Amino acid sequence: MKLTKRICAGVLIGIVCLGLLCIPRIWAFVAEKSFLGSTTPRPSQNLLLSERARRIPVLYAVHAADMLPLPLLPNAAVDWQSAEDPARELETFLCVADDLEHAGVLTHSDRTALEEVLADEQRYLRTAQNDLFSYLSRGYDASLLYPVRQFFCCVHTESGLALTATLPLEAGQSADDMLHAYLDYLGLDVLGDWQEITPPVSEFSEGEGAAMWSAEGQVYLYCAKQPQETTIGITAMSEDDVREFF
Amino acid sequence: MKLTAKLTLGILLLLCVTLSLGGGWTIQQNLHHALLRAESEGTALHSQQRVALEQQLRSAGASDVLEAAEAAGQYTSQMQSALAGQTLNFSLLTTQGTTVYPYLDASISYTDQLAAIQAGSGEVYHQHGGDRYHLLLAAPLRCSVDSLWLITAYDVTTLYAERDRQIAQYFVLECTALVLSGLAAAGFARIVTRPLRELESAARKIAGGAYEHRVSPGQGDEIAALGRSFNTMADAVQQHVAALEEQAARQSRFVAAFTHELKTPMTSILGYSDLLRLGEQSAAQRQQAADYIYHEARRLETLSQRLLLLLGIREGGIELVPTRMEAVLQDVCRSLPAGFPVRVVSDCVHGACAAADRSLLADLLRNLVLNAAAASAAGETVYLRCRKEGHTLCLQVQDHGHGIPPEELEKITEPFYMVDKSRSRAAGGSGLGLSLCEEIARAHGSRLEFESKLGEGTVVQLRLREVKA
Repeated sequence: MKLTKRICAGVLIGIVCLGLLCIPRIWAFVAEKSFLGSTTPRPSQNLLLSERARRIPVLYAVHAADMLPLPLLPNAAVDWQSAEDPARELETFLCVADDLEHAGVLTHSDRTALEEVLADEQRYLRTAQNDLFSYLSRGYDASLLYPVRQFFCCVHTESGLALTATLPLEAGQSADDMLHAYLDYLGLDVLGDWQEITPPVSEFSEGEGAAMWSAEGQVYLYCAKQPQETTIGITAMSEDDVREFF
Repeated sequence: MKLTAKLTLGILLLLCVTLSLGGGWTIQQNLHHALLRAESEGTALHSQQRVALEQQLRSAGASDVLEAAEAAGQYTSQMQSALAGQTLNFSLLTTQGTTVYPYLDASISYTDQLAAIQAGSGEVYHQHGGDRYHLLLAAPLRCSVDSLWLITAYDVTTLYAERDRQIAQYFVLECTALVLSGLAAAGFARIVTRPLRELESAARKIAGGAYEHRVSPGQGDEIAALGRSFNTMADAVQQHVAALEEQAARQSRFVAAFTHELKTPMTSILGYSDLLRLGEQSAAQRQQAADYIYHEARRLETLSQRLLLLLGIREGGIELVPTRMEAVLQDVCRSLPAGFPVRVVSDCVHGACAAADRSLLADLLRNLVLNAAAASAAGETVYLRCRKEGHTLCLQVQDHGHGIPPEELEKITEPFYMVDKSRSRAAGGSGLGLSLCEEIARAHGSRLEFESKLGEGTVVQLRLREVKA
């Protein structure tokens, strides 16, 4: 083969090889051209509410609490203050208790017992408030000779609904009945995908418990009944968490 | 183009395509997965910002777009200190397209924002402007201002930059791999094609006349098999060439012998005819000259007849029919002249039959008997036998004469070859007898086999396949 032909062949082969080596760049260029300016579905995420669920105030508040984050339980993030007017705070709470009674969450005797207990100890009441919730709790006093019984309530300010409540009494009806009544009370029965969940045994070792979870609402609704203490509440919980815990 | 170059280029091109496609796919997949992660993070961030902004708007009691803008400004101030260096990248638009609060990167156009709103709250819009890439997520805000949308931008420029870096890095890697692979492929191709080059060289040498040249075929693979086949072919060529050379030599010898055989009687004929032309010889001399001329002419005629028969058998072949060997042997014995100098003992297995031309086969055996008689002393015995060995008939002529020297055995069937020329000519031999016998044997699908010991005698035998009568 003549030298010129060899050089031409070499150049041609070089061009072909270079063209082939540029495939990743060409590929990226073409893919980018077709991809940019387009849309892709948003990835499904834990605790990501649908637009329908977002329109339910309670659900929105529970999830907003999770994101901002604002506490639904009496943890250190709550800026507690001693109640300036305990009688008024108690009265406000008793209105909530009335609503719970009307909804069938509490029995009348529960309601009465609660009022008696809290009226006796109203001087220990503490309050807190943020953009979404108002809190009421009974503080600890070292001068008391007997153990302070738990009391805590978190109320959604906009709707006036109790989102969590730890009451210093053993409720008169079963945890299961209380839970279903609480569901109606919150207005979350509009979600049609509630599934009952068996809570961990240790959590209710001395009493009974009931729980439900909704995939659409991404919330966990629970009720625990123990001697001298009853807890109801709602919290945001993803499907992954449900699988992990239950 | 040489095979080595073709192999090298083929390997290189294949590698080039595989590397490029594989690399391109891998890099795109990396970007795709990185974008998926970014979409997840962006969606989570967007959800948080959405709730936080909604909360801010609610807290501020914003009821129109101006108040909403003010509340968004407050939110921005709070968040910028909380985010500690991270960029806040969002805007508020009404559904009608009025920008309420723009706090977006300059590379994100108004059209992009509208496109994100149009995509809806379930989609991610992939935006590119200038040298920046963003994921735009839009969602309506839940507040007292109607139709207010939040557009959050999530910067993914680093992902595309990382992709470009990977492409550049991969290009260098590919080039290096190709250079190294090219060298390896060239070496490999040279090793693979070395036996072929040896074959080509050997073929050229053989074509140049070095028929004894062979290749070392190696072991195992197809090229080794090709080498072995080449050697076999070279063996065949060498044998064929040797046979052709032998045939050419034989023909030369034949022509020389034929010329010589013609020249001898012709010289006699010319000499005696010239003598007669002088015209002054006695009657006895004339008679002697005429006798010589007659006998030499007869010899020439016999020679020509035998040559014609030889050529006829070679070219035309013969027709073979089942023939009883007893009859053939009887024909031979009957054809011998009265007063034959040796005793001929004939012995044939009963019922032996072979595919043969009866007269030619008898002629062959008769020639052999005559030769045996010529080699034997007067009164000795010559055996003419036909035996059976399996499905083969063995025709044998045996004498106890002076035998044939071993070095002559291979040549005695050549035309005009005579072991003892003077004695043969004196006996009227032409030197074509055994050639003719060999041709007849060949026409019967057999050949003459000679066994001879000097002073002890000779056995000539011919094997024919037995057939049913």
